[in-house]
Amino acid sequence: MATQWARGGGERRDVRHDPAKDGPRRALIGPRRALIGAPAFATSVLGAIVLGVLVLALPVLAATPEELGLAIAEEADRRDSGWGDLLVGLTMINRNRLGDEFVREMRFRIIETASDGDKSLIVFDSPKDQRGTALLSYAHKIGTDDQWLYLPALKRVKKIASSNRSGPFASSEFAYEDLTSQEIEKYTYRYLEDGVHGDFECFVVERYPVDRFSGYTRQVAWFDKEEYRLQRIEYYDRKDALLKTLTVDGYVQYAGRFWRPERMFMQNHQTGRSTELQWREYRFDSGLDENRDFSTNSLRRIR
Amino acid sequence: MIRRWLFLFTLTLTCGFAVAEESVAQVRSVPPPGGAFANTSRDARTSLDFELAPQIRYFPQTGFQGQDRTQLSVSFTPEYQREWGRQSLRFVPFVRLDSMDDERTHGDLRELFWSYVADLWELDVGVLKVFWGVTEFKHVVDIINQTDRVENIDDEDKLGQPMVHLSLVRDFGIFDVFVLTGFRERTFPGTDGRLRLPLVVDDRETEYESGAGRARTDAAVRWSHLVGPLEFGVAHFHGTSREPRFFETTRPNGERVLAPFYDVIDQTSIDAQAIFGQWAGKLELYSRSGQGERFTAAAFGFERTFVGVFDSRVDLGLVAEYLFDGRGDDALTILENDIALGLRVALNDPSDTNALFGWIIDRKTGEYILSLEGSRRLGTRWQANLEVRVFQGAHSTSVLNSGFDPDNKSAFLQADDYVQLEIVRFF
Repeated sequence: MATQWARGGGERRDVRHDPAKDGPRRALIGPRRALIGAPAFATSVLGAIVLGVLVLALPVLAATPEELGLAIAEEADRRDSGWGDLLVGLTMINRNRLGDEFVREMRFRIIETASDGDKSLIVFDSPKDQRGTALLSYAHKIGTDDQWLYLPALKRVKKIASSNRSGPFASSEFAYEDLTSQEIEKYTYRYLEDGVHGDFECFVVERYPVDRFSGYTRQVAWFDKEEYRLQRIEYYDRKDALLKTLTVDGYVQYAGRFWRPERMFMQNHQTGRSTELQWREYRFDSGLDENRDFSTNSLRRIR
Repeated sequence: MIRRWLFLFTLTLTCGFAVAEESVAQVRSVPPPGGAFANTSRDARTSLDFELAPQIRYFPQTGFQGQDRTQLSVSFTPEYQREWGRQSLRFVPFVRLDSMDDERTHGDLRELFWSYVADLWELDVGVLKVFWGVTEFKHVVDIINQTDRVENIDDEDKLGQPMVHLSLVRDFGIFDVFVLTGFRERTFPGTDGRLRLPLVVDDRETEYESGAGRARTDAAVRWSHLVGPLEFGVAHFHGTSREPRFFETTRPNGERVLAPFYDVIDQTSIDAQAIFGQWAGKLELYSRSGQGERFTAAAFGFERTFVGVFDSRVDLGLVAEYLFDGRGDDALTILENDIALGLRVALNDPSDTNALFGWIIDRKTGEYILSLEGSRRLGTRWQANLEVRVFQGAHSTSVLNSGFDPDNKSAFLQADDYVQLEIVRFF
């Protein structure tokens, strides 16, 4: 889901990287790479001595796997901050083990907030009996998210228990917690190794949900080294068995900065069921307003 | 007789649609024209949808007043909506044709209103529906709309209410102001209808405390806010009570009927819900004056959610609520000192099958109601809704004496156990 890559703002860091002002973008991982751009310095004797000292000092500079993991997650978050608001449509195709399909259509609107997690509103368009049902979520960095369900027949806005987050979203293979805004604070991290997914060289990071109601003991996430985009996640259930795998395809860059996928595929290995998400028509900067478009009033207005 | 034919005709028509469509086996629906987000603040979007719902109700017992056992009906609800810029227009009429009860054959303008959404406020003008409440078995504080009582006994079907509604969304809550221009009378089952009191409610005998009667303009205000895990609303209503009192009266032809009397009341209410992990605590409470002496009514309880029981996808919810009405024996409801226990089941399957089992017990008399409400999608454009209610525990003999016996409040319902199946076709 888009908000997995749409980070909350956190303490509002200055996210814009201006090469003219800041110099070339430096890689976060690998202290040695920072020295590559100084060949003249290295050729001098003084440079050689400094290099030697620095090499010896590497164990001190090298981060622990936990710090590396967190740094990767933070960099991915940093690169995906500042997008403001987003509208996107979604076609969800659920398949059972036999290949029978069931399709749902829905629309998302998401907004970054100044000091906390994203707010999102999902409206169901099809099947027709679900038309007008809507889900409003306030993601929080600390503590469980707030969620409201709108039932159009009764015109009732119902706040739902946060323990639902491990349950299936729209009876798909995505849980609520898979789709809500993935704040950095919701996990602890550990860098495992470098890996490959498809055409991408990736960092492989293990992450552990902080929320006790999560349905997972851990997840293993592949972030590509180029742009720190999530390419793949393996989910391990409460018994630490591999439950499902998410693969993400078709990244397209918007507004020259933000990467969004066209397709996500979640395969449940234990039941043989799968869910495919087709994201269509991303629209950034539509002038959405937090109070006007993401309050419980907005839930009632959506049809 | 004509109504039975009409019902069968409608059933055949909707089944015909089903056969024609399912044979085409449409798997993927096409995104609406104009793109997925045609309804952003800059674009216009129109939608027109219909629901056609034949319904069959079966009562195993003949009614105490000799009513029939099979009640067929069909309802039709078009829904038109147009949005452009910050404005929108919504039109939802409703009609039901009933084979058994003339009063249940009725129509209503559920919604017809214009809406404008500004940055700091929004305005609705026209006929619409507003819901307040957090509890499951009895909606105590939901006062804005009148109950369409002839539809069902659970007070969940409402008539449209004309109003001007202003809503302000702020960091410290949402403020609503309602100017309710005009009053809707409650609908009641007729002589041939089931689930009614032994005497028929005759709205030709309706009287109002207010000299303006149905033309009276009422008002309500509400403040709602979310603070941590607690969400609450505080409201005040001043105007004609939606709930009438009843007086016995004799018609010119000698028939004894019930005459509704609508008092002017002041009602202050609170509704609140607090969620802690898997537990949700709920409260609805009001204090009302102007309908006899001031009294309080409330419903409060909790819901405990179990997500994915026994390693399956099934979610369960346990509900327990206490339903209270301070008028006691004089209450206008049979849920005045009752405990309600419920079990909610959601299968999280592709058909969105879900059900709510309920057991409501009167603490004093032991009378109880068992209920089941379930629904499930059939195919892509159909939905089946099942409802079962069983009324037990009262002695039926006291019903034959037309008086009301507080120790057997639900006596008049004892013969009205029913099974109701509704098949909804979406267009």
